[in-house]
Amino acid sequence: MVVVILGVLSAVVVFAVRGAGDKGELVAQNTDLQTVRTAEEAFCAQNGRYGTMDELVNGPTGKLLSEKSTMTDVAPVPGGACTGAGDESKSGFITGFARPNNSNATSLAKLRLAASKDMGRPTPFAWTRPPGYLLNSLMFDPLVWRDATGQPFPWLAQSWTNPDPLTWEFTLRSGVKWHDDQPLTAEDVAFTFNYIKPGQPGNATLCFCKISFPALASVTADPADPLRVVFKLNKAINTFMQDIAQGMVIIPKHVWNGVADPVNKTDASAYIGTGPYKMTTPADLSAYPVTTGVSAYDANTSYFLGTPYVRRLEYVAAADALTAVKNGAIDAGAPSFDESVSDTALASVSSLPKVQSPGGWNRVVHFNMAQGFPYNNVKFRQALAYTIDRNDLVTRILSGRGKAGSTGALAPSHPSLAPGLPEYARDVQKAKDLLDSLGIVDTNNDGKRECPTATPCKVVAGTPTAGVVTESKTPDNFIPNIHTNPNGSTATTDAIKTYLDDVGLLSAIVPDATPPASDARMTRANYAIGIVGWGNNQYDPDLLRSRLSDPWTSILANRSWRTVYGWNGTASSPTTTPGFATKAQEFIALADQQQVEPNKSVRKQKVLRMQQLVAEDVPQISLYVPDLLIYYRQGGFSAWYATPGGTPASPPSYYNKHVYVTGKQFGLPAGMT
Amino acid sequence: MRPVSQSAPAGRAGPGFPKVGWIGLSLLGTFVLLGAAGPVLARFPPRALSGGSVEPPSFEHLVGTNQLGQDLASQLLFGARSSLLVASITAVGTLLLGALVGVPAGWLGGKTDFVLMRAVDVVLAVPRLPLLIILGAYLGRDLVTIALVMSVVFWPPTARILRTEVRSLRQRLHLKAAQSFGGGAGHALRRHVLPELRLVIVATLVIAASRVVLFEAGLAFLGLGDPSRTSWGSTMRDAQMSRGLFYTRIWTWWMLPPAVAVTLVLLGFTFVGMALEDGVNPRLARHRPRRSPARLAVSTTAAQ
Amino acid sequence: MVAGYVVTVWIVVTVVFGLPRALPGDPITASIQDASAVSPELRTMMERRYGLDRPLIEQYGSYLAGLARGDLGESISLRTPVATALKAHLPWTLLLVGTSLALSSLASFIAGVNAAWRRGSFDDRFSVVTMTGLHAIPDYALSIILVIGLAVTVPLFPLGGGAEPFTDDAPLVSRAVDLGYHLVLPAAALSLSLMATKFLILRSAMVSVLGSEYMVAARAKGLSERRLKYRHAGRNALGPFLNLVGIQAGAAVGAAIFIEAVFDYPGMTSLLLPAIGQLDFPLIDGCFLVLALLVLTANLVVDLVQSRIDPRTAG
Repeated sequence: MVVVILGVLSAVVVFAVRGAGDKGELVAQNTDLQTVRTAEEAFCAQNGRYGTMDELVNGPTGKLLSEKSTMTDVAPVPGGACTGAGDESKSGFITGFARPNNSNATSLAKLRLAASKDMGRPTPFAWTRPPGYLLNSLMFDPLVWRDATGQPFPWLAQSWTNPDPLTWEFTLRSGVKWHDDQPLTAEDVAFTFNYIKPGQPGNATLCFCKISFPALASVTADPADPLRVVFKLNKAINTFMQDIAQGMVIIPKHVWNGVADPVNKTDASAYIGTGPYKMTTPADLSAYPVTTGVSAYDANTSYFLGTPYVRRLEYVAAADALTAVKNGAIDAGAPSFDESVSDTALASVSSLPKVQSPGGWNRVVHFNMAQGFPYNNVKFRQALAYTIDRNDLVTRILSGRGKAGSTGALAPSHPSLAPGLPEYARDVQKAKDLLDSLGIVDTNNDGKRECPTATPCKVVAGTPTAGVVTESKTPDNFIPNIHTNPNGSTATTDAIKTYLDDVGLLSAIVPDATPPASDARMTRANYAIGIVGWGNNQYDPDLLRSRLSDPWTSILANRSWRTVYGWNGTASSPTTTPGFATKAQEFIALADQQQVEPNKSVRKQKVLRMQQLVAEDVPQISLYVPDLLIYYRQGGFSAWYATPGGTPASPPSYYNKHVYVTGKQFGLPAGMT
Repeated sequence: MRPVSQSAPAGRAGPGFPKVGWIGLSLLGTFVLLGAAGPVLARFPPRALSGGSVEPPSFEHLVGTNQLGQDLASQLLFGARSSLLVASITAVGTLLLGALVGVPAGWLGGKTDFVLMRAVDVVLAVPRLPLLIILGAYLGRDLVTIALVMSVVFWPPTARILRTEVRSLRQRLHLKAAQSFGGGAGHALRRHVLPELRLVIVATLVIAASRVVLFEAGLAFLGLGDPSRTSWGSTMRDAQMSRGLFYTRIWTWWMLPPAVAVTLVLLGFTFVGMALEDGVNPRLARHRPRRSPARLAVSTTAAQ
Repeated sequence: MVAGYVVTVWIVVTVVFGLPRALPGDPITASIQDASAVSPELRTMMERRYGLDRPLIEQYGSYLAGLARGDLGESISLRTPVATALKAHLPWTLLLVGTSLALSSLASFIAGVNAAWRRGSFDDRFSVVTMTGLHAIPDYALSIILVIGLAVTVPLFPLGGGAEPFTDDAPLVSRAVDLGYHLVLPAAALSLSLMATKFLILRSAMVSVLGSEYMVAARAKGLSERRLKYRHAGRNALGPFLNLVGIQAGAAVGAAIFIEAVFDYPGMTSLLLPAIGQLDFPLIDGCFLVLALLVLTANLVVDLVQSRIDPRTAG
């Protein structure tokens, strides 16, 4: 009897201690993290910059840490100023796991994630949306890649130099093999970039690299050195590394040479890359299920960075990410922001561990100022900015998980975000005054505004390909059409309609029949006010130029300021706002300058000024930037991080292959350089 | 051994409107009233952000609010309006199309009847929801268009019933004409055919309208309804956008009320239909149409 | 009967041919919404498919020939042949609809016969009330109730999906069990919704049979309750019942669309709904054709079976 009781008691004690042990581990991690952070701040105070783990332990100014931490790793981010606060979000260093997934295991057998459907096939030319690009990146590699520091580091390329502003020379890693065991050479790199040039079949790819292509003069493989490739630019652009070196995956010449229709090449050879994974389900690669996206990838055991940490990736159908993680159907999932319900409501589900990071996609109200009055008058645009309550949208639509868009167009979390921009905090009276000053007043006391007969307002209607412009003047109520994407958020448009109603301005929400129709309307500018979503505004600040002033219409069919303003380089412009032409002219000049400005602080000044101009002139109103969220299984893979600045062709995403390959947030696998 | 009883368990044979019919009528009456008076009764516009996010039912918001803060009671009222609008247009359209085919078939008989009834069979054989969906895809998602498309899909049962009724009427009229002194076809039509048809017309309208309400909400639920209108189906669709909601109590005031509303309206139609069938069926059975009574009951109810 | 079937099929096929051509404007632009965004290859493919420059008769001919070959064109949004996409999803819908039709027919037959037998009793009245109520609940609402009740509150069944993925190598038995496990709730929802009408009809048909002289005679012969119930009365009521089963094939396919949507069942709905969002007409047409042919064939089969059982109702 006593033996039994003792047995039971000891079992209880053992379990209690084990539990404490688990908790103990968590406590120890947090303590360790704090210690490292404190050491970093001390280092910065002494040296004026943040250091690596090695520097914290081995000097140069003495041992700040007695030994290398086994739990936490730290990486300085260039340009970070000492804040002394130990607060990562403000200072220039980030912390991560020292061990893969912060466990002692050397590999993870399987990771199950939600499949994405309707994004094409993951060949280099057949993906149509960012999830497809990310799947493709499992099998293919570009020259450099990006981890949680957001900085490029050597991937397919071992090293690179920039001998003069117009030349970049890359040396590839040796011994890299394609999935069909052929060796990778510089010829493949040169072939890749020549194959995707305008006029070549490969130009059908949707990669972001095409934005910077006009600056690329030539890509040649060194005939003497099979691992050396030289890029020659005709403009010393600042975005070379992101757009070109990281922008395009390298494809094998021996597969794609001579292929005239790369988009429809869907056989197994289209998936031969250098990447860390090979698609193994479906067994017949040409039968990739585009409607469900269900597929599996096994680790490439002869990968040049060693066998990846995660041995197998499975993508399964999961309609609702949150409940799928809760039920264990997937190991991690990211709900889309319009599925989010506040944490207090989801008490039982919110106990799931999660990672939340600032996002890089925003929803935007776009003005086509070329349509005429009142859209070409800054007071009208400012009035709308004052009445649209962006913070309220964040509360209602994002359930608080996100931020109001910056008036300067960059993401609120962008390192180059300009301080002190005009905020346009909600001020209904101001909005009303502005509208009154334009003559758009309620003349007949029906509570709704009409346009002055002297300067009637334009209303744009019609089909996506053929716009119809009518005029609205007293006594008719002014009802501008707000065009949207049909699958876009009706919640957002409903809200905007209400805000406009608050200042007595009626409006009509006009969704197009299909997303392609909506894109067509935007491309052809058959709208006056449009609501579009675009990402990635956490990218290099050159995005301001490509979005708002580059005459080359971007892949995402946005309206460039240059085109919208009708700016053709002369002093005349189609608007009546005084000073307007000067603003656009200044912006365009700055945009072109910052693209090639070698001095970092001079460039930053220009970027700040560009944001100021955007905020003052309101060519668009950035409504909200949802945070990125990922929920993962308790006790499951936890190394998730959102890639700052995003990966090319995708906003900051958690599904960065670096995390599957290394199991850590930054750095290469142990022993690699 | 009990004598043969009628199909409706709670009804009575003979004159007078059965109890169940009154229940049905009151349900439908409430629905029509609320729908018609919607804009007046609704405290807030259904798409306006009038409250906080997912507030439970309160005095301000009788059915609570949704994610955006829109008043769900107003959405219910305006949803009734959409359903009402579509049901009315479709009922009339179904009747017109059904009469266009069924009356000549029943009156003229012979070859015309054969050809027209085959046409009815053809349309009847095609599955309705897929047909609705494909026609909607081609012709647009505006509410009126949807209503017209539904008329095109739902007219066959009406045609069938009208044809049968007109046929039997014609037979009886021949007898009556032989017995009467003067009068003529027009007189016979006015005094005998139309009054008889009235009941059948109402019955077919009831059947058609109930299917319409179900499908209109269903299409909106699938995301195929009119995006500019509030519908019970679209409220349900918004509610089920995030399955995570099902883990909380929120679905009780967001998802449940529109579902209950549709169910109650359908019940109303069912009850009225049951009450009318008492009046319609025995008469049809009496005149021995080509098909057996059981089969006819099948066609009538199966049209639902 | 077979002649009627062939005529109906031909009409459906022709309507699908005619729809894109009946719309104002050229079907390619209507499909693609932005003529300039169409790549030359896509335009050529569509022109070849629609054969717009050839006379209408020729277009029709090649369309029919294509159908006979199983060529349903290529989906604009998926960039794969429509037939391939359909092949991946149709079996699931067949599984769901077939199982539900069978289950609901069996259940409603037994229930209907017994309710009519015990006409007027509490059991009977309760069943009728329940079935009438069930009949009025929309399929999508019923599905959601089942999801909340049996998959969320009490996580007995999966929230959705058709089967556990990547189990192609697993033994057949466990795969079958898994398939069944995912099928329970969707099939339950569809069966319940189909059952109500059948129950009510069968019950009323049974009631009239029970009152006939034939039954009086059979009873007088002293046959067992069971035999009377099923073999005599039930058999005679079978005619209209079977007729209804056939008619319900169409309703079942329609209801399955709602149920597949709620349960994320990988059937035709998961193909059709996104196709509509993209206005991918070749795919929409293909889905509709297949669904319509499915229902028509089911009706034909039921009609043939019925004429065998009860020659009175033939034609």
